[in-house]
Parts: sequence; structure tokens; C-alpha cells
Amino acid sequence: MKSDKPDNKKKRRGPPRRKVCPFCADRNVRIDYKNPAAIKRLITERGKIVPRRISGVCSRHQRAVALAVKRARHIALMPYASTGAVS
Amino acid sequence: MSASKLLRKYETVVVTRTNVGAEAQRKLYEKMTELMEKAGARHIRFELWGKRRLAYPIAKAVKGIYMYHVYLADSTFVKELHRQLKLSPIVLRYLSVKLADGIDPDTYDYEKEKQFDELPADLEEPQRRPMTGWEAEFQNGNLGLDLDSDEDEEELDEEEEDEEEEEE
Repeated sequence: MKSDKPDNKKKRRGPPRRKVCPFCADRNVRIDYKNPAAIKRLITERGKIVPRRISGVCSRHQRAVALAVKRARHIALMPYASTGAVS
Repeated sequence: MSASKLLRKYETVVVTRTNVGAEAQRKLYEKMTELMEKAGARHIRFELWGKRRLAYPIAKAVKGIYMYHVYLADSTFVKELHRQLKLSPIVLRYLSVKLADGIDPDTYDYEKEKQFDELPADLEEPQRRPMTGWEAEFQNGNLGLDLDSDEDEEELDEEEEDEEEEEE
């Protein structure tokens, strides 16, 4: 396929940046449901798990994150759902 | 070779109500350790995480007290423990996770984790357990370990005082 739209091409500067899995980059960070601080940034304000196409987490670690979030939710360290407003 | 049965290493988090007082917390702890003794489980480590705000209310409770146990046991023990926890009126939630399999309780290095294995003598003012990442995050917030001072409790105390005055 030949691209006839130089406008679209112009917007993208260079190849897309390769995301690196934060847990592969730093092996000291353990994914643990007991420590929600470490995985807090992998959920949205509404409490949803961020998909790895957004976060760049590798599939192995994403599975660990999902498990940790679900465990943390059960013991109320993390919300199942939140409206985003501080209650 | 040792004659002991191979056990599994488990961890259990128990969330309890805040308005029941330190005595009930201690009783629950003692009951759990007693159960472990009876079942031939080996208690390794205990941490009291203290009173924390729940991410969502459970049975009208907004805060909970978190207790954390690590022990060696078999699956039948965990089943029994869960049955007992279910019966307890002060337990809001519990979660057990298997950490390792096929551990020989006779050769296991207990000392490695033993330094945490003590219920603080005074539950009113227990020691904080340092944990990576945990302390840093919650130090300023909800790790207030003042188990007896709860809004509900305060109200109860006031009522009692009123009663006393009336009697006089």
C-alpha cells in the first residue's frame, strides 16, 4: 500500500517509541498485592486495570499485575470501582 | 531424611472490624495461632499492619485492621482456618495465598523470618513492621495503630459516662 497522504505522515515524527515494561526494566520492584503503591499507577482513577497496550507492561508481568490487583481488591486495599471523586 | 510430612507455606491476611477493641483483636490472633498449633502447622511470622481505610465499605465498615500471618501448613488446615474465620463476627475479609510447596518443616530456616514472629506485648502501641514500599506509602496516612480509638467507640464511651452520671 502506497501512502498518498503526506499530511498524515508529517504528524508522526520518526518511528513510534518502543515502550519498555517497567517491571522488566527494574527487577527489584516486586508485583505484590500487599503493596498497592507499586501497582497503583497501573490502574485508572476509576479503578480499572490499564491495558498493556497503553502501559507497555509485558504479558508476563501484566498477568502478575492483574492477579495482584484482584487480590488487593478482595481485601479492600484497592477499589473494585470508584467514581473518581474522593468520598 | 526426616519423618515429617512436607508442608506448604501460606500467607493469610485477615481484615477485622475496628470498633471491637484491642482485646477482641488479640483473641482472634490467639485463636488463629492455637488452631495452627493443633493442626501441626508452624507459625512463621506475624505482622500487624494496623488500622487502614478500606478502599470500599464492607458491611458498613469504613476502616479495617489488617493482620498478616505466614505459616507452614497443609491444605486441610487452610480450609479449617477459613471456616473459623467465616464464623467470626469481627472478621470482614480474609485472603490466603500459597507461597511455596513441599517444604520440610524440620529443615526450614525459621530464623530468617522469625524476627517478626511476635505479637507486640502491648497491642495498644504495637511496633511497626518495616516493609519495602509499604511504610513509605502509608506512614503519613492510615497506619495509625491506635486500635481502640474509633469513632464508634468514642460514642459508646460517652453513653456510658452519661449513664454513670444518671446513677449518681
